[in-house]
Amino acid sequence: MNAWSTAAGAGAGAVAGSGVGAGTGPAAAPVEVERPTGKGDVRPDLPWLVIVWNDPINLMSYVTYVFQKLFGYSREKASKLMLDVHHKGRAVVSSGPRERAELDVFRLHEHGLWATMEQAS
Amino acid sequence: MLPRQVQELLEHDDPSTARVFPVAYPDDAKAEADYREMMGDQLLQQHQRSLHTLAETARAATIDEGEVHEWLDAIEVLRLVLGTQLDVSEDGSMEAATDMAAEPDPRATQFTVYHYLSMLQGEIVDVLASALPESGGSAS
Repeated sequence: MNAWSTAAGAGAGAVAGSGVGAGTGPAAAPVEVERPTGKGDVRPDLPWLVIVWNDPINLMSYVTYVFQKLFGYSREKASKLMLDVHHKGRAVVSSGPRERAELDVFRLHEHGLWATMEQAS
Repeated sequence: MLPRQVQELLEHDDPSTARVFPVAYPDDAKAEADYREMMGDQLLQQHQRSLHTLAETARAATIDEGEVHEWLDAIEVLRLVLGTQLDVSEDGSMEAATDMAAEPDPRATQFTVYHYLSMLQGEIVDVLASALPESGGSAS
């Protein structure tokens, strides 16, 4: 998916922080060698998807702001994702290695958003 | 005072606070338990700090930038808890509040507070969002 095209194409100076994707599509994700953990990671090479679910409480402007703040998305991109969540019930907001996805989920939880993660299939 | 009441609810894991601690792994109970054990306390403490700041600075003439972010967090938590208690729907809006105000309903005050917090959060978001780069890129 073109989740990163806007951020990558903006060339906006110092793009720091863990949220801005350095090309985390399936082809570019760093390959992690995971020891069997018994946690059901039967396919360690597949990225994890971070999903945000619609809820009746959060303001649309707040959700858009959180996406901009956490992932460095443009206002347009963040707004589009928010509308996807709103109209379709859920949207994938980021993807990557499990640890990174879990961190993204935690940061979204910190901001009160309903986020889950699942491995791509 | 509302922030303190919600701090108590959080401390006692009241059902109305469920939305403040969402599930991360809906398909993996073990992974979810691990996640909760690792991150649950950090999340709780962060919200407790924000609610404390809100309670302490509610009557201040001005607040600094750090406190604005804590207010945003505290207001979010208050809205999640109140919204859960009120069982707001997607259309939870002024219309519903007006209906409630027309008849004696103990939830009317709660709903008014919820709606006020919604407006306040919207105003804070407008200010903070305007400081973010339009075209993207991390601010931190």
